[in-house]
Amino acid sequence: MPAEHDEQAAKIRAIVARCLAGESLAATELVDRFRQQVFGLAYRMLGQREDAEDVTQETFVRALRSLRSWDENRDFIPWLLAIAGNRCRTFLAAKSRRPKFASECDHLPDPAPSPAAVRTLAEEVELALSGIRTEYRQAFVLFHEQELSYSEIAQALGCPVGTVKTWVHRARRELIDRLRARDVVGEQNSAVRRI
Amino acid sequence: MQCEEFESRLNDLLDERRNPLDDATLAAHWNVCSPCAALVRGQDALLEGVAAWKKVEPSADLTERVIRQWESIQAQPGYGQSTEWDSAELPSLLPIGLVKAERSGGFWSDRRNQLMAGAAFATAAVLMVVASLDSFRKPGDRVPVALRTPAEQSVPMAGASKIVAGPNVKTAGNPQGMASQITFASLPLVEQVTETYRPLLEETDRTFRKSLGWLPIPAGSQWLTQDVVSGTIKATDPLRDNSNLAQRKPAEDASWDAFAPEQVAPLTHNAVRSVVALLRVLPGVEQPTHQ
Repeated sequence: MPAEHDEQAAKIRAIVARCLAGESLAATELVDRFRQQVFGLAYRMLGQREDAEDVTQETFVRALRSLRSWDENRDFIPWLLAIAGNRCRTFLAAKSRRPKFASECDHLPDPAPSPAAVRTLAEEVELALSGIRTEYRQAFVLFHEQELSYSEIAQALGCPVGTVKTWVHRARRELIDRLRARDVVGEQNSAVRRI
Repeated sequence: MQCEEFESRLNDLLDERRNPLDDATLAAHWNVCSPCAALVRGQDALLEGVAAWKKVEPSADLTERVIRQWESIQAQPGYGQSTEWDSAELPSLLPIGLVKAERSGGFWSDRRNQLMAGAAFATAAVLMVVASLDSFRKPGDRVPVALRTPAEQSVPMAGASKIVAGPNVKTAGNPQGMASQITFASLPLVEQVTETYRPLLEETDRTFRKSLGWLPIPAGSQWLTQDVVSGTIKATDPLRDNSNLAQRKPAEDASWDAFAPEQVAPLTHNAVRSVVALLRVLPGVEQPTHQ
């Protein structure tokens, strides 16, 4: 596993070096390599495909502009996801300041999950996720969906590993409470299933 | 096992990506504790829901859009004319950190005011250059050792000599007689430029630091910042924590205009380009070559 990690890191360093040398194909390769991961995080953070695409685009442009400041001794993915997380938070902050009518008119084709329209367990979890604190949400998604390690998440969020763990634990607890509040998880009516 | 221990162990197992349903110790407790059994059911449902999330794919043309935008940025006038001084030296000479946080709105939200301020900064930069031309070092002057890094200093020089900087350079305490060997002309071109105009750049930096205190930062914003000395990255709410601002920069791109791009970018763009343009035409400075 460490050997594989080192190999991946070497590949990324090589792509970054080519980007810095002005090779546009390398920039394309870099974006293609990480677009799914960045978009996935943005989508879970923002809940809207269109917003997530805008933030993803902005993230990559910023990353390309700032490649020189990336310390190649550190992992690239947490650095990139730190930019994405910052862009998401800035986007959410800007959106919360926008007049309500404007945000209601936005993104009509792709609305956030509404409590009434949610049918599946996956949608219930998405709905619950949209209601918890931004840091909890980001930490939860990075750990459980993107399967980053705690140390990688700590790098991406710029806080100690202990804090990240606390956020993930609280996220789980809060999500369960929300699922219970919507009767998605029964209190007494079913035995714990064995896997 | 107490319920607190149960939850703690449950979290530990989940943190290790192990299945708590396979843990006999936990099972012994949830079989007799209905709240903890409900908690396990909740965790199970939660993770099942996450596993069932559909993989979301960005649009097929996302990469193309990114590259197009990236290329248009690179094609902007001035971008990529990366002489050594505007790509590397200027940011290091303008180490402005997180700006003072204030509520948004007011003077700086108005684009016309931003443009006026940008023009004012550019004018101030010109005036500073003109006013201080006489005091700048000229080719042939010697350069203060203290401004060079220890690694760049020759060993006998380090700590052994004292050079007084300025137009009328003097040397003192030079038992090895090496100070006189380091002349302005012997330095690499980029060092000649930055040493010559360092006072101007530092003054510009101070002016910016003072004025940036007025700039608004949106309420409720939070950014990751990186301590420029230790490299530590932390989340910062600029409205609550504005201590030690000069020592911080945004972690994401080390660019301080990222904090309030709409407000700061026009100012820095104008002022930095003015300074760079002046550097290119001022006497005593050879034009750097692109690398």
